[in-house]
Amino acid sequence: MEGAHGNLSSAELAELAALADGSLPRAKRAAVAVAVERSADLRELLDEQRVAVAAVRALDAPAPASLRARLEATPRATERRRARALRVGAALAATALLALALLPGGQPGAPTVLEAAALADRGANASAPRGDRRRPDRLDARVAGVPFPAYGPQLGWRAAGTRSDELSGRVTRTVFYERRGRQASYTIVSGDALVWPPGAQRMRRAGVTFRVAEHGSRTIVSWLREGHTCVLSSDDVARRQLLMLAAWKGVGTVSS
Amino acid sequence: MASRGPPAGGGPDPERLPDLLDRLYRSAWALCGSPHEAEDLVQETMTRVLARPRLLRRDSELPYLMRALRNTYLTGLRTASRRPRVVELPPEESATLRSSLAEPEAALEQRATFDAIAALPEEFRAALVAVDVLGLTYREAARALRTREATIASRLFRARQRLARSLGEPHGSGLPVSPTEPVEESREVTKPRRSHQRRGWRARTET
Repeated sequence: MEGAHGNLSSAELAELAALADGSLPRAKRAAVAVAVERSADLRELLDEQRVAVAAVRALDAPAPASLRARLEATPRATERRRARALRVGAALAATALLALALLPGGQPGAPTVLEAAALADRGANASAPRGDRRRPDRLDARVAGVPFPAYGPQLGWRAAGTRSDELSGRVTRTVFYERRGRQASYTIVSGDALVWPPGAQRMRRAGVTFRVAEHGSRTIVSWLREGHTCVLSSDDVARRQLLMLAAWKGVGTVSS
Repeated sequence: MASRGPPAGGGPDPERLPDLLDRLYRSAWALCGSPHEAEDLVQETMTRVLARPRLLRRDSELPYLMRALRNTYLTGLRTASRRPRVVELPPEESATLRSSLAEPEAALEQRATFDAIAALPEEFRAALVAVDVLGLTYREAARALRTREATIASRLFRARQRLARSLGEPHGSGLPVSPTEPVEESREVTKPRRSHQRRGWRARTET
């Protein structure tokens, strides 16, 4: 197998690599998959790619506390540089990496995740949004450019209705999903992060940090997408499944 | 390739920042093969980044950090080659692996993965770190490493292949190459072949 890829063009190698990590465009997948199915050599090459991808994605080494402490120990110099950068209008994201890492979730005075989750109690007041024609993993509904997922085709959860509200001046929209008599509501709130529920458990899935809280009979999962808060909650869906729905990325771009 | 990078526009997202630091740290570890050196590398990278503030779009911050990390790493290599080599002991390093206490076997596997990545030729390793560890798209990785997207894909393919084979070996060790082995550029990016020379699925499909 050492030279098994010798007959493949660089474009074909790239497609195999992309198939293995899930980034190959849908339109190309079928052709590559057929070729792989027909060739034991290609299957072996693809397996190797997948083994490596899985091994790397399994790496779970967070930055140690000692490193965070070392970085946090230089705030004054950072502040000076940041002030200078701001004077010239530069927004250096990496500066904020140090400064904002210390902030708790949500700004003081912001609405809370619990308030957002409570919007679901009001029920749907409009029909379910349709699917996005160009992106089957999305609904044709969004808040501040953040689309709602279309779980239906893959996971069996269908959008059953929607409602729009305003929460402390923020635009919000909730889509209600149903599956086998169970319901989950997905709310997106525009603007800065909401205040997390006290005692919310922090969990990570697929590279995203989620806050999970129980409030009465309701399980609430909240996280950020493109800076806007998403709240997925349900009275009768298990926390694990809610997390799975929250972390679902469709073809790779919904939940990042 | 589908976009897997950070979304464009908007200000810095506080929620992403700890995650950015985690990814940067894993990338540093994979690049240099040592958790302790990775800490130093991340700190030095951040110091350099902060010393030269510049306007960054949100979708360009990760590629920028990747480039800064790699440049800092390569500069450190050159500097280190001029002074006595420090041999790293293997003490509490696995303590930085989240699974080390609860699942020592998993921690060992992860350690082996980091070691295997660190043993890849530098350019293969950089491509793999940029895409698979840091999470850049192929395009972003190409920008960060100042090369072509096709080159990134080709290097990534070969890096993964070597990594898989290394991990599949009994002791997870021996890559038959040195970390500094030059990459065979001539085989990396091949010009489009004439149709009668092609034997891949594209050619087969066409015939």
